[in-house]
Amino acid sequence: MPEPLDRKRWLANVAARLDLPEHIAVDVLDELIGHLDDAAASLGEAGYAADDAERRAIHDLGDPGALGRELSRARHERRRLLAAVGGGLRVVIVEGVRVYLAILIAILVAALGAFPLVAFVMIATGRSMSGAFSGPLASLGTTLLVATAFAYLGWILPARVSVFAGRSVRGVRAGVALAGLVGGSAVLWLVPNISLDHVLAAGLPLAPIAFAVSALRAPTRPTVRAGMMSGIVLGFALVLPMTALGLVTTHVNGGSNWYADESAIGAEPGDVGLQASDVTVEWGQRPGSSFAWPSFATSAEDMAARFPTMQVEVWPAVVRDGVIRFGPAPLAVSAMPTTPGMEIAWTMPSLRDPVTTFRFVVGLTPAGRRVVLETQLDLQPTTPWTGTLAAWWFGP
Amino acid sequence: MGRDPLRTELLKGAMAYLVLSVLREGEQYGYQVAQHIRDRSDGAFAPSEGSLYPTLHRLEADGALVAVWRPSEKGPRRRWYHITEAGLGALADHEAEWAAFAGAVTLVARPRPEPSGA
Repeated sequence: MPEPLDRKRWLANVAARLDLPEHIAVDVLDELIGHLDDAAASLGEAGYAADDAERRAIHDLGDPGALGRELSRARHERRRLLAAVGGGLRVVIVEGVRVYLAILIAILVAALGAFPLVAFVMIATGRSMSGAFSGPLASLGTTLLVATAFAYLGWILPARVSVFAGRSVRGVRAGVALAGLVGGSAVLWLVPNISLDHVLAAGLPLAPIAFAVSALRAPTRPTVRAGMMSGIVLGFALVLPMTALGLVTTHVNGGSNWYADESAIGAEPGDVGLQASDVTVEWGQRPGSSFAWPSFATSAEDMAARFPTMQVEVWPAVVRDGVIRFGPAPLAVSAMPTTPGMEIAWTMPSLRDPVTTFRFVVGLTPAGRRVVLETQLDLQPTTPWTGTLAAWWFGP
Repeated sequence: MGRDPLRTELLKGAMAYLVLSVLREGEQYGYQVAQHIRDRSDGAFAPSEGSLYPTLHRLEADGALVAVWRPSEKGPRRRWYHITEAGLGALADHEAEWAAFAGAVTLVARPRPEPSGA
């Protein structure tokens, strides 16, 4: 039997004022429907006509808005705020880990598809894979991925938090959005020590905003949940974009085509009777520092006597028309060790704008001329700038 | 009945006491609770269900009542409430408080004997 319109409207007015999780709100409305049925039946037995009994039963329950508000208030315990915060944090951690794992799976799946495609194209066109998946475009991809993860969290959290808070999704959206915006920004700006460039530094602060916007529009029942399957699906969807990213971020020029114009530094090895093979160096790099192990065709003592001040220098360089051109002064300098075979280490500057560098061993002759003692071409960018977002924007 | 302001306010203040008293005798659902309060007061207390259900839910949230859904022969499921140990304790508190309150009101309201003699 269809319910009279009055009852529907009355229940809708109660529901509009109920600030409770959906499953509790449904129970409350069911309870009121049961009451109306009982009251109307009882009034009918007492002689009321069916319509009158229905109207009287509804009237006896009183103002629907006030009842909805009072029922919501009755359910809102003081401890609810604490429970909402605690439960919310737990949900953030659990869902954050789920999203993180889903993204890892997606990247793995996408990489398994994209790497062979990129490698195939590179081999077919004789290009180098150097620099693939790095640079501003890669940072843009990372930014989009992080923002999507934040937006997803904003999308699902209000429904989960509403259960802990004992409130409706509608009632917690603004709180979740604000907490995510403030908390997410604080964490993002102050905690992670990560390699940043201009794109990441500008893009990452937008992620908490994506969270807040998403939370304000969060559904009562989110239909998508991060997990292994969604990670795999996302991974397949990312194969082609990642392949395109790999192709556009590879460098065309290989190192073997470069020529170093060392005249800006000083004399060339041949000018002082040295062969390129007289000095060999193994180079290495760690985050924030570089190191070298030089060895000489003649003894270290002999080299030290001919070049009383030997040192390792790292110069800024640019490649133009296949020629390496050096900057005005070295970026880093380290004295040669007194004991042959010892590791030489120096700290590389961590610049917001990466600089291509060329590192080599130089010596000063007794006549004061700088001589490049080692000519193996080895171009490297400066180590990525590493730190927090706050340090990037407000640090030295 | 129950529509004059004083009675309405008194009823609102005593609603938790009345609900716990009725449920002490066995579990009931909301409509039955309302009926029992009305019947046992000979119609003097006709609680507005608008205050009955928030009271039931508040007592449940406080742990004084536990509610379970049961199917009903008369239609949709019904939500049955039964009183807990905490609810019995709260009822004892209400009884003591009410006795003290009623006693104090009686003391104040009772006409004083005329002072005798000069």
